[in-house]
Amino acid sequence: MSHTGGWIVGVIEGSKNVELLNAGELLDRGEYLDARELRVDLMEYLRGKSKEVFDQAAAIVLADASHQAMRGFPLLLDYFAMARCSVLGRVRSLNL
Amino acid sequence: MTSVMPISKPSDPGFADRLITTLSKAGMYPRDLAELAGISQEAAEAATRGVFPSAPELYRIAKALRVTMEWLVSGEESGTGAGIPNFEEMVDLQRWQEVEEFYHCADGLIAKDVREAVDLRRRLREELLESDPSIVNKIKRPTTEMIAWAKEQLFQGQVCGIDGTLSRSPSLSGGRARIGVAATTYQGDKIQRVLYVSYRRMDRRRH
Repeated sequence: MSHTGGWIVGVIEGSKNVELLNAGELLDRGEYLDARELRVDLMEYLRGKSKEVFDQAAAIVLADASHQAMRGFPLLLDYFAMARCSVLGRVRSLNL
Repeated sequence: MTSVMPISKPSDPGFADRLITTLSKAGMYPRDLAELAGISQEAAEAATRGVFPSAPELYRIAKALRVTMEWLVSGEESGTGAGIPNFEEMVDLQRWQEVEEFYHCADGLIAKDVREAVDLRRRLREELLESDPSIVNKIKRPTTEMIAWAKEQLFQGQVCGIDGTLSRSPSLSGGRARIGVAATTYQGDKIQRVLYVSYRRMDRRRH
């Protein structure tokens, strides 16, 4: 996503970390949690992004999630791309 | 010498027999009776053991089973069905429901589960925030302006959702797909999908 000449790279991923899962459970609608610095997980993807960029990315995820009823599932960023890929992974043959 | 009689709720085996017979004919268990009559399961189970329920509970039980309170208690009054309903009475015993009514009830049961889950999550939130108040400062909520900006970005196609998969499916041309990447964007109110596939060619087997 380009904004003011830059890019935001967001990664939506599940977690087995109990503390993070509990933290996710406690969130109310429209809330997000700044649990830890993104660069901890995304060192190789990020280039000194500011906190403002993180908040913008969170706003996009939340705005996208508001398009469907299921709590916390971004429609475009998660569901549509994943659904498309799941079809791709099941096909018997691809006309390349 | 003085003897003391234990105090217990009045009971009657005949009452239990009539209630159990009515329930079995209707294919119901005490828990079904409890739900249908709006009484506690304990009260319903106690009633099947012959323990007289309270007057309001007895009224609800009789109403739910479509028999009279008098018949349930004494067995002398011939109420609707007289405890042993025939087929027509059994059909009329609300064991059959219109589809819409069924789904209406199902919605109620699901809504109850959802309410309990919501309450549970609320308690979890309160307990977690209480145990670690520092979390409160980490919880954020985007401003209305920020959400409006984000939606603008989404619907202008500036945001791209991407997911990838590893496929081992052979292609008609003999290639074998290895990595598939699907990208989706909003274009106004429509979804645009783009598919990328990388593959490696396999040697065809000679027969």
